[in-house]
Amino acid sequence: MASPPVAAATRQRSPMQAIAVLLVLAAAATMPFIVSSFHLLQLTMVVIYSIALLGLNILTGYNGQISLGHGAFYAIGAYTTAILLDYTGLPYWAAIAVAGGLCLLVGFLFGLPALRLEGLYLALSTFALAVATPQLLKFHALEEWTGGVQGRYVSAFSPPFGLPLAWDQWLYLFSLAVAAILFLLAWNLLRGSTGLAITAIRDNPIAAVSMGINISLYKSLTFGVSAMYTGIAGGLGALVTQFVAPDSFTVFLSLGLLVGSVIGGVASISGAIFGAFFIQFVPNVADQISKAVTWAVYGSVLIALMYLAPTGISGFLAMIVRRLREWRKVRP
Amino acid sequence: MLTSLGGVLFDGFAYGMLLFLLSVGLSVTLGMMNFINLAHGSFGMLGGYVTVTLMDRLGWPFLATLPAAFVAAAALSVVLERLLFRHSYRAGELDQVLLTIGVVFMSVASAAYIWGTVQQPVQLPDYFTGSFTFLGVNFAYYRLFLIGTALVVTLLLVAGLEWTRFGAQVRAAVDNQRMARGLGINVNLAFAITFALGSGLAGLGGSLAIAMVGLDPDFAFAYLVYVLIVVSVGGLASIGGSFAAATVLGISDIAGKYYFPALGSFLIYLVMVGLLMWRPAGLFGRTIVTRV
Repeated sequence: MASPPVAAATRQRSPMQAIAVLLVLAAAATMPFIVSSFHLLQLTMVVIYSIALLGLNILTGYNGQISLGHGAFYAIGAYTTAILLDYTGLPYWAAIAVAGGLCLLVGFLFGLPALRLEGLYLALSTFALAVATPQLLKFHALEEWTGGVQGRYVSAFSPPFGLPLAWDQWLYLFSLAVAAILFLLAWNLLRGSTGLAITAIRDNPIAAVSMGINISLYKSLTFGVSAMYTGIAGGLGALVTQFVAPDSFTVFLSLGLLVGSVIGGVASISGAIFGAFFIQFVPNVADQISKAVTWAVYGSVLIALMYLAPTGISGFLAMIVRRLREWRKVRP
Repeated sequence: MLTSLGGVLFDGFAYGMLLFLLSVGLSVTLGMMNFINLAHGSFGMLGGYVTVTLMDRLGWPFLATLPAAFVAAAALSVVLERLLFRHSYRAGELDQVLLTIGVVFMSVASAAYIWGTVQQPVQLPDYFTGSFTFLGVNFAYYRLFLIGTALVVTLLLVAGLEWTRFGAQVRAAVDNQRMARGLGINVNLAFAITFALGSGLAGLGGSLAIAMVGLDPDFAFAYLVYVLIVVSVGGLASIGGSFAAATVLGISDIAGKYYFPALGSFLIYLVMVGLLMWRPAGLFGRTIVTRV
């Protein structure tokens, strides 16, 4: 039996692809020394969003669990990082690691009962989570920790080892390194037997369980890993904005993440990067015209994608590459 | 304490009736086609804006705008159903969620573009502005009217579903769509009509809602959550379940805000998430969850 196309595509490891990835990474690493400080911050956010979207892709694209509430995990990551930096002497990288671990735990615990919920009900529970998040952060009893409506400032830090870098340059490179490691981990996770199990659950749960896959465990673990990615992104995001407040984590963050994930290509690793560019730059451009334009763009792109390119940007590009190859093969 | 309890129960019941009108249509259409229509709240929002526009710009009386809101929402829903939604009935859940969220985004954008992002004022007619006190409880005329409308709608819906030929077709389609088709029932037509009626009721609910909860472009998202809670707790295609769920939700929301203002309004969501995890098919729903 031929292996499923998704697994086959991720399992291929041609030297050309590895070289291409390294070239892109190298180009990305030179950015701090080329672009202006303002654009660098935007690019940092792209890197961070791509981590968050990768988390969502693993869950929604590969495992088939719809989450309308990943903004909640982004918020948990951001607040945990902010609080740890303020109250403990942890360095920022450790704070982000702890935030990721906490999100892994929370996501796993949320996923455990949530796996009883089919499509709509899961979407609804996560949507409720997204709506409740800003209100929960404003809650009086938690004010000592969250800062309530006012939010919290995040302490700044300087580059390590006395590197001759500005704060934003270092933050960009640090985020890029974290992203590179997390992308590598995700690629490794998805191409192996775990990845096959995760996609099998999406494609046919009954067949998956009869193959001996422990669905409950895999689904909740996927939820946890997905939440961890998004939480780490949230922690990095808090370092960039140096400020966390409830109104940064509204339901629109969650929906924006889902839109970005779908536009990039929901069951793909590279799609997370395309999606991150989309949600960072399109609202920026559209906001200059009017706030309403952002929603119109989001809405029309979503509806158009459903009919024109259901696999998102990365699927669209893959299709072009495939067509080109076939075309070259056909020619004598 | 006791008088305030009566007031909270009355206001909560009125609020629950509002939520019932907004959500009952989705409960039935979801049960019929398994089509996840997150744009349902947008039809409610449209109804609200139709009422505001007709009253402010054309000087219609409030009561006359209510049927107009119903018709406008129903008409738009038919257009959307025929143009967009019907292609996705067989698509996966993710596609349906994304398509209808796209429609919600568009509706929010259009509302913000046409009417602006400010709260829309509504001037109720004089005969609705007063209230009377009975046994220490303050009964606002408008809320009584709201409750009366919702009860009439409920009776009509139950009677229509139970005793008419069309109602029997709808029930058959909910129970077993394939079997209903096999018996020669035009399920697509029945669904389109149900969809229009349900969206029209949401439009009616939306125009009745302005005087109680206000209206701005966020309406489509803000009330979507409540609508989804009613549908999921009440169970699919169950008028009685929706009615009970909407009543409980309305009263507990008002009571929560009145007695425990410090807890904030997020409590209701956490209760709902917990409830769903405990009873995945809703409190009154039939088990449709397939276990693997």
